[in-house]
Amino acid sequence: MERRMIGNKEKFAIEYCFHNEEHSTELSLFVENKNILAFTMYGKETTTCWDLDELVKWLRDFIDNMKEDPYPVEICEQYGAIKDDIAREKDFEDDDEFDKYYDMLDAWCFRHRWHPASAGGILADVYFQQVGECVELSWNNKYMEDYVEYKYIIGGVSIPKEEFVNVVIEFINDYADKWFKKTSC
Amino acid sequence: MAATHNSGIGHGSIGSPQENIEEMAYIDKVETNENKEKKPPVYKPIRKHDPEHSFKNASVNPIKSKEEGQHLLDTGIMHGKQIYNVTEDGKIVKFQPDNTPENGYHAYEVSSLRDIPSKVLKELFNRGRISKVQYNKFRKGHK
Repeated sequence: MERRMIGNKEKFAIEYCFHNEEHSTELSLFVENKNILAFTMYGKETTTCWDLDELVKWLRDFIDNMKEDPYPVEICEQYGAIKDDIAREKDFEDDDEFDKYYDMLDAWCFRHRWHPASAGGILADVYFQQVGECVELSWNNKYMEDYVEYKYIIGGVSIPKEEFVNVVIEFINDYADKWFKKTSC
Repeated sequence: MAATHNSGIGHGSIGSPQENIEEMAYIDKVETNENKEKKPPVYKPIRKHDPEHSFKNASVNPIKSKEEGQHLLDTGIMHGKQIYNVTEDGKIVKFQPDNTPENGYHAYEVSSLRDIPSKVLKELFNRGRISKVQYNKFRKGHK
């Protein structure tokens, strides 16, 4: 069970460790020296440790389809997670207008939020978005499980795109070597 | 040297940007398979999601008995591979197939309401499992 770090924790890094016995991978995502996946559950501080196959496939799709894709509503904030938080306060008199608006936000979130790929593990709600030559990572853990206390509730950072892609691809390749080689994925 | 994009990982997984297309294709496949081969879904809770077990990395399963679990599974709303329903105390649970010969499904509480597909929420509302107030709150991602 060798622990490995890719990247620079002060800027952007992924630290992980494969656990053979349960097909699980312990994962930390560092920005500015903070592991934004850290949480406390049953009194113990820990990080995500789960079968990450779905999550890694989501990251693969995000990288492959990455392009400028602005948040669909004009909000005077920098980061996607914070914009999404504010945009979801809106109410409508008309039910069809309500559904159309939230369908639009959900469609954007499916392209930029990794949480639907958590597969039953505990995972911070992180958004990924290319903005120019950077990738913005932002998080919003305000509306998560009652029994989990996330260390970082809401925030965001901007990382040079090349640095982000190199770190994530190296992690994906190592993960695929470890867990996907024997399957036809 | 920069890393390459050659991981050999397939595309279009659950939660991916291509989710709807993939899931619609999957529903066709599941329905066909179910008619010809698959046994009816069976509720099979797993230890990892058991709150008594206190596994520190798993979403908790709030279902209290096998009977309740089987009923929720039988009356749930299928979306792709998953089945969703609401417990008596208003918690939305997701059933995941275990891909076993007996067609077992395990369950856990949906940790972020923003993860629930809008079609599922609409169907839960249409079937009277959630109120209009809950529907609007859940669509916003609020508890």
